[in-house]
Amino acid sequence: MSAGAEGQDLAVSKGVVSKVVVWVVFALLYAYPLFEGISNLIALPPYYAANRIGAAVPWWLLIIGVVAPVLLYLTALWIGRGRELFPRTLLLAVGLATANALVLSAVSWASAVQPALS
Amino acid sequence: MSRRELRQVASEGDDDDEALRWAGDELRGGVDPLTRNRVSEAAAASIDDTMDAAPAAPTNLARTTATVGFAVLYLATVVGWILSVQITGSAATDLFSQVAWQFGEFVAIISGALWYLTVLTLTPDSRTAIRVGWFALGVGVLLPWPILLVLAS
Repeated sequence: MSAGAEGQDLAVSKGVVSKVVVWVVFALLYAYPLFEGISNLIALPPYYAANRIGAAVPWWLLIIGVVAPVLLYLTALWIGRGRELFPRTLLLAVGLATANALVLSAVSWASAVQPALS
Repeated sequence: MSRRELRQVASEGDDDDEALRWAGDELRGGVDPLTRNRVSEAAAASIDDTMDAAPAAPTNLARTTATVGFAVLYLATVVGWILSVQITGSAATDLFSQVAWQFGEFVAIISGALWYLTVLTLTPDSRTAIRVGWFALGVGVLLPWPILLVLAS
């Protein structure tokens, strides 16, 4: 293999490595809003049932909390395909920020629509 | 300078030219450095460098107005999230959850600025409607509900 081809291979593998590192780091950062969404989905219905307001569980908010981080991560990857590293990273960062904003919005909506506890 | 001296200088110049050629270059199809430089200079001169590498961004009044108008809206979004995180809180007591919650609040604050920057970066050559569509989507998704719900109640 010539030196030029080796240099090219090295540049390509460096590009792949930085791409994968960005994917993994952001996957870990997205995991927290996803974890919050899942824990709300598991914990809120029994809490409502225990307080005899089981029929008022805001399922749509709980589902948004779980779906939004996954959907935003995949959408950021999809829009960023074929782009340079910086726009890819920027897209994943926007998705992460949006996921966290949506989680906070969902929590505040859940408090707002919760019936008064007897 | 006498005519003799001039002739000497001229012949020295020829010697310099000779020094940059190898005998038989022409026969082998090689190009001596002097000729190569002249050719490359001519090629460089013939390149039309008045055209930009990237096509110019479409500019019109509607596009500029939308970009500035949405900047104000996104600024309001950031302010709304700064106020929102004052009234939200985590019941978690362990350090990791507290740090993660505060990180989430921080990125929620900068979400509007990030969305705006991303749309600006990724739609330089897109049609105005596409840019405005992405801006409008961001404003809708990133509404600071915690503070809006408090104000509404």
